[in-house]
Amino acid sequence: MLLELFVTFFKLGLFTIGGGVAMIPILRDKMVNEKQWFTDEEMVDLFAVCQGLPGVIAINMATYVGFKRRGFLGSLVSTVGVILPSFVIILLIAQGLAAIGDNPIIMGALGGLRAAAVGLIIVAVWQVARTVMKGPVATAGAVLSFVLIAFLHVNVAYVVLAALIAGIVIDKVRGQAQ
Amino acid sequence: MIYLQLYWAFFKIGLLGFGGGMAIIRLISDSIQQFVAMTPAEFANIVAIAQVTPGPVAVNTATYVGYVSAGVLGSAVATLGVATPAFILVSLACRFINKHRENRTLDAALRGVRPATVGMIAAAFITIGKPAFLTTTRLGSNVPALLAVLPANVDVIAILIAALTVYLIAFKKVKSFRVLIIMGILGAILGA
Repeated sequence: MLLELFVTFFKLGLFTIGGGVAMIPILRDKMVNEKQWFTDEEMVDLFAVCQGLPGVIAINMATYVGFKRRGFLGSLVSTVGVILPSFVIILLIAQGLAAIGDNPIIMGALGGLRAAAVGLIIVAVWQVARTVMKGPVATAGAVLSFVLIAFLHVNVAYVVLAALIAGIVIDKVRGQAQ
Repeated sequence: MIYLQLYWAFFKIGLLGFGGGMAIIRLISDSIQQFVAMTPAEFANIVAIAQVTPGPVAVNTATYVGYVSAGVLGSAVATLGVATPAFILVSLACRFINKHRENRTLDAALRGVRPATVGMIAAAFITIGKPAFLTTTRLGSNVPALLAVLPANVDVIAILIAALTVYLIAFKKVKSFRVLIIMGILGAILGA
């Protein structure tokens, strides 16, 4: 299990360019379909917690999955796994061992992976939206938070805080209405 | 003690960086001056490399800045620093959610945050898609004839690769790692 966690997150770190969000569909694929460690709903909670908390989203996700499966040791192994490829590749580049900027084949491969990462993010939007946007209130919340973050450049921390409070208020109002 | 200072600086960045990647990079750019003399252009170069190399952008940037400031040990310390708060906070959050799973207020709060998750992911599409699609360094340099007929400041091939990725994963149910390897090879053949 520990090795499985390490390998999964090592591959995630190695193949996803553009960071945590691009990892979402791959992680979902692995966790929900392949290994059946989580349900779709549990994955959405994972994403909500990992994006709502500060820090690198990929590390948050590695820690979350690792912790849920094998506690402290699991989260440590997963986090090291997701960081390690970055660490090695950046060190090689920083030491000038790989003149990647001049090599059209390496740059092409990286460009292909980067374009694919954008595709992955589109898949992520669709997958999470499908699970979350059930009903007009949730849909409005999703659209509103998108506009706030992407176009009005509101800090994600405030959006998460507002969403948290909105969730509690809506629950109270519905509770009184009943 | 540069290593302790680096660790602490990146610990704070990990603790205050809400929203992942680019938010964290802004914090890094604000705090590196105490470690290494770097012009904004030099920092922009590092971020550009971090964005086109595998791995989380924030981890890549932290590793690079740590290395430039204090060598290999510096990069290890910076990366550990940015990872530590995530580690603590997420473990605490997991424990808390497990313990209060039946709590109505927590459930309501989580239900409030879930839609915002969609907004955050969609916003990431813009942050990552814009530099990947709207660029003059396009894919396809191995096939100049192809590039000549395509627009100069939009990477049409990158858009097609993204669309093909969506098609294969969402509609053909091809395993995502397999799709990534295909797209990497495709990019290598086309060149950039």
